[in-house]
Amino acid sequence: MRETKFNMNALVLVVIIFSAITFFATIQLMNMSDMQALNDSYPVEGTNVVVRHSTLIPYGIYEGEYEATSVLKVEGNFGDDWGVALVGNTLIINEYTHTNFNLWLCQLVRVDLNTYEKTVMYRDTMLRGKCASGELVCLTDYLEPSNQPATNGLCQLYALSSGEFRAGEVCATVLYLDPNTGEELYRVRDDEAVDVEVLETRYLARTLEEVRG
Amino acid sequence: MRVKFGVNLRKVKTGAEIYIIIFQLSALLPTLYMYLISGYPYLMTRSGVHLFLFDVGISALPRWEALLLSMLYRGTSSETATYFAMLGFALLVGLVAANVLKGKPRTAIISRIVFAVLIFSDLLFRLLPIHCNQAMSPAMNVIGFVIRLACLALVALDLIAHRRKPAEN
Repeated sequence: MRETKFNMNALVLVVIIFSAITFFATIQLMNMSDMQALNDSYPVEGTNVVVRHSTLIPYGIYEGEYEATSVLKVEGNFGDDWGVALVGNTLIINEYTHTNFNLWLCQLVRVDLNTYEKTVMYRDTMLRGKCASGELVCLTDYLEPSNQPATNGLCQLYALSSGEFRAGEVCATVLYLDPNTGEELYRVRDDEAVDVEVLETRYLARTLEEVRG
Repeated sequence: MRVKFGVNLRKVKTGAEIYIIIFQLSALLPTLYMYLISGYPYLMTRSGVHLFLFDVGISALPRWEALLLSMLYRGTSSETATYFAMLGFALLVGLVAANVLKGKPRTAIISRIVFAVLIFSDLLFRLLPIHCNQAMSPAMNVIGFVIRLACLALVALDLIAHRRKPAEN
């Protein structure tokens, strides 16, 4: 190959160098994911902590309700929009992350409110509330439908090494967690549970025993 | 002393060399999609040639490499890392191949045998009913299989031609 005029190795090398320059210019220098101005606070009931989303200060869990005196304890894009659980002095909450091309991911994390240590419980999992008998209901093995998995090649690449995802399809497993210990109680595969109405009527409105039965 | 091999494209490339080009093109195709959506994110929500090329590239890559790239992607949440890993590996294989395929006769033959064994094992792996083989659409699985089968044929032609002309080699 060395004596040929057209050399693939040279082409690949040129692509690498060219991409490195343009990627650092477009993706690393400009953070494409943070375009909206916002300043929201969501106090967590029964605690002294606030989930804060702000353009001016880092996203995260802050101690103290008043913005001027509150102190950042855990940095991250947390969301109590679908529910949050307080187990003793431990907070179970959704954390949103994204890849550098903006594939949105959600993971369920546990935050110790004494030490403010964060532990990831389940990746690709979203807490969606409590069922009629009080257990925490989560969607797991789940990529947000907003990622457009049917047309998003990156979702397919993400799915390739997973035992659960299927490319081009919105799929999910419903996971029940003990509200006191955070332990897994039951899981059932149901791709339709991604639909809010289906999740509400089939899982959130019923007790765990009814779902099991 | 040079070894003469079977496929001789315009008297320049042997079958194994064409295989390496196909391998490198397979790595370049998905990066084209990734490069495009880095500048135009809305393309992620559209089907088109760019998505088709991405799928063809990923399915034509050795399945174990696609698996490792997927693991890297899930582990780092970084398309940029996956992008450069894909291109870096293609360059590495190209550089190694450039040395071994036209090196000493014994090295040239052994490298072709190694390529043939690797491609054949990849083809067998693709037939296993495991998740990573079902993640891509059936059409893409067929396209990927056919491309890899063609690659095996190219390398095999080299080896067959070499066996038929022992005196010339």
